[in-house]
Amino acid sequence: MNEEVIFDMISLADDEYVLDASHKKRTIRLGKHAVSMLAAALICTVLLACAAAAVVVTNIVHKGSLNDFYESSTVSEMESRGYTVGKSVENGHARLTLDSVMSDNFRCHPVFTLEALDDETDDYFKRQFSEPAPDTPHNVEYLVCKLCYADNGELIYDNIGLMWYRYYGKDKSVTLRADILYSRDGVWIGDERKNIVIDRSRKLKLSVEIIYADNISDLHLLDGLETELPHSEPVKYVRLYSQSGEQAYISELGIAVPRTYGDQTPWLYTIKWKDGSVTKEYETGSSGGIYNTIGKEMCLIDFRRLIDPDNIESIELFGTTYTRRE
Amino acid sequence: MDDKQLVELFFERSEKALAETTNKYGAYCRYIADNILDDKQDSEECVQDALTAAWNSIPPQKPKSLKAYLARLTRNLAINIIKKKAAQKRGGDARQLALDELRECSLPETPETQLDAKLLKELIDRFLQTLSKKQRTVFLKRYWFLCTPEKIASECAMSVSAVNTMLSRTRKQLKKFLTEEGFDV
Repeated sequence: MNEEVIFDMISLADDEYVLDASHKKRTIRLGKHAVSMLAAALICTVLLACAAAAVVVTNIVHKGSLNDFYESSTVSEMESRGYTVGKSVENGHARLTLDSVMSDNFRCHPVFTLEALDDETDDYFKRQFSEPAPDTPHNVEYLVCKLCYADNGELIYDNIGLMWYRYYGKDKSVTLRADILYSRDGVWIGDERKNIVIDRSRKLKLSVEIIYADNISDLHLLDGLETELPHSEPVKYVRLYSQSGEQAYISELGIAVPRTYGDQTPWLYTIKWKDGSVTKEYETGSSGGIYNTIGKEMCLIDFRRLIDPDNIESIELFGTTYTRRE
Repeated sequence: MDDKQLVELFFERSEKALAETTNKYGAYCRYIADNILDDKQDSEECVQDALTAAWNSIPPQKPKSLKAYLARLTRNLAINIIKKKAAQKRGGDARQLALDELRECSLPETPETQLDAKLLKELIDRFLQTLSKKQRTVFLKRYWFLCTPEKIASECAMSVSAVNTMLSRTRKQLKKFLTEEGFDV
């Protein structure tokens, strides 16, 4: 089914849906006096929001929540290697705690926990994260991260996808992972290649933004929640090669190969270790918990545990075997 | 005057039919034509042609919703115009931009599948039913009305970034839906 057929198919949408979609949101025309009053009120709200964002040093890492994305043994190893953080910031509505940051040459994964501090935010989180827990990490709808340079606030990219796993519960918190994806000669985030080169000598700052909400008042609940990303040494990696010379990059965090694939699951691959043992078939949705991120030119698969790439002999993925080149 | 009364005027072949219809739905038809065509003159002519097509087809057609009927006539005529123009110069028109985006959802051809209009309509209606109202509105504004993301953002009180994110995710959902319906090899 090609795009022309899909376009023609959309043309056949029911009249009811088409008519419903033809409406515009009602806008209210304000007089000059009302506009200046509104502007003053908005300025006060923004000032209050800025004043309310306070850095709170808690040194608390939500280890249980890190288990949403990593196995328990990995969380312990992350602690011992200094990848856990435990820095929080609050704005009166919510608290954001940066729990961990790990990165390799293709990805940077800050994991953070959002906690509701008032009823309004509690209600919003209940609606936003109300579905039954997905069996694999899922994209969050309508929440994104913005990445800036910490020294001068210069924007790098404002539409970084977030993954979530466990639905909002009685502890009034939800843990999310930002997927910051790099390429060797630029950056791309999610599906768009942006060719923005990140200057990794400068400190980076991450903030969370609600980009759509049914209630307009919800849009500001996470204002001011931003956190500096500590410098995180990239983890170990190896390069493996196919017979045709195609290169796979295997780090402690995952795999990167130059392929473009659809969202078919499960993701099957086989690792042959130097000791002769074989690890086979990590599937999405199982406790193996491998899930993928697709860039336009690279396929990234993330591990739920830190593996040792130095002990890998070869890896078979998508029908191609990649081995070491001495 | 409601749609039923307007359609009756068409059936009576009353001169008032076109005047009243233009009064009520002229601006709506122009909105649709303007989104698709980048030339005001083409847009005006398209709307006129759509009203003429309505006059020539009612009766025997008896649309339940004259608004929806006119919308389809206008859209189809506007798309025909840009198809003709596209034959003369290369891309960048509204339909081509939409096709470029929808290419993400395309799947390998399945020659044994009969893709008749009834099946396609059922498919798209079932897919649209799975979406939230907001998602459906944004999706149809982009791919039925061919509004730009900037226009959708302004009409739906969203940021452009939010519109693009929502469209990207809906396209992925559409691809998954079509795959589950068996439209892949």
